[in-house]
Amino acid sequence: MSPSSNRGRAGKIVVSALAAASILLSACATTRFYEREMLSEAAMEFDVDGSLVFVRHKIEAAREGGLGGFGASVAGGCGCQ
Amino acid sequence: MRLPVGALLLLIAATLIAADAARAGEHRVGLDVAALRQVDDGGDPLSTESFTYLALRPDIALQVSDRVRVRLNGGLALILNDDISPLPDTISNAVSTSASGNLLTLDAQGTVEIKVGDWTLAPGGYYHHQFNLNAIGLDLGVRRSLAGGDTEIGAFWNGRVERDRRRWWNNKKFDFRRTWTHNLMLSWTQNLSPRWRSNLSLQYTHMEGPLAESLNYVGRYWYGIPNRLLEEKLPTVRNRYQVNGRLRYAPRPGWSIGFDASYYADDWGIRQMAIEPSFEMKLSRPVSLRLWYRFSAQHGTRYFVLQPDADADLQTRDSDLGSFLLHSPGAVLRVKPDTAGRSDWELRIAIFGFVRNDGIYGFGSNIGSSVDF
Repeated sequence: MSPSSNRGRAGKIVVSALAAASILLSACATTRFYEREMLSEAAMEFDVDGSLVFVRHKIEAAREGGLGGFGASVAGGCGCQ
Repeated sequence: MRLPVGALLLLIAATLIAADAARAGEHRVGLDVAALRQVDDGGDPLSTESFTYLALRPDIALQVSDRVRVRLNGGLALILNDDISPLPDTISNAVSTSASGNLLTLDAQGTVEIKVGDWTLAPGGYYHHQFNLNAIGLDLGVRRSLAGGDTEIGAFWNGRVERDRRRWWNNKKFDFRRTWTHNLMLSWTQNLSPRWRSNLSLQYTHMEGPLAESLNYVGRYWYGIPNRLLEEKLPTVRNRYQVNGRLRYAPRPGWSIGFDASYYADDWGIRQMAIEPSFEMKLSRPVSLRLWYRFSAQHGTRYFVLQPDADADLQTRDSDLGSFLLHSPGAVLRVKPDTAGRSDWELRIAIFGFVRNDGIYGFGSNIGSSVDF
């Protein structure tokens, strides 16, 4: 299979997944706006701060074989780490 | 560990002045200083893997209009590698390389966030520079808020092309060679109740190009004695997959308990799982403390060799690609004084460390300050 057909297939999968998730998740209302006080606090953010996440992710991606973090984007190629 | 004290004082002074001058609003200016010291008390006995990393990271976010927000990040880092230990006399091809052990790197990243109804589009660009190596990249993120804000789904793509002509450990030199990286991530964040929040994300990364590191070598052994250095040789393609799950709970206002987990696999044979429980508490009205502990277990690549007696087609002795257990605790103290609604000034002081059971450990700190105005 050629790389371009691979990319085309990957694009279709992403669009289909987003469309399916949009439909399925439209029924996922779990709180009313006045119940979100605690959810909106800084303590409930998954990550404390962007710069600290960047540094931790860089260390983890360089010192471990995995991608590092829990859903952070790549910083660059091998040399950029 | 020495931190650039002058830069830190400048940072605090600048943010205090900005905090005093500003009205509470939607812009943000920040600066972080980071330092890391890695110590090599194991790993590859023929390599020195100790170094010191110092970095300065400015961060600016500007609300251009109701719908458009621009973010600019920079990064200046200095990596000071320790002196290379003398290699044993038994090695016949030890060379005195002219490649520098120290490195200055520059990063710049810009993102424009455009809100259209429940959708947010985030195109961006990336640049990285170091001696004889540079990389450019494009980012694209799409997020959608659903269910009245209880759900957010997103898709993110990052593309990078790296041009590398660094001199190798054996003085071998190539013309610029390119490595391509594509990263795709799908993310789903869900409020489960007024106290619970979850996130699930899937990541796929495809890398293509010369993936062996220019300063990595493999020692060849004869009856336990190293007698020759060989080049690291790795496939030119790497497909990497990671799934992440995150859960956070608020037992009371200002407090939270979190649990993160990930599983990683790639076609070089690396398997890795990581878990990270965390806990945040409010010490006083302006001060909060978050503690975390990361544990990961890694099964190394099939190309990892400990003491090979022959030159193989594919081989590495890079301890980061080997098997190990890792423990990594950390803490961050956040101070956010009440500035009577005129601005939001914050100081962050983080310390962290890691220790691997193959003898490599490190510790570091990140001190940052930012002001929203």
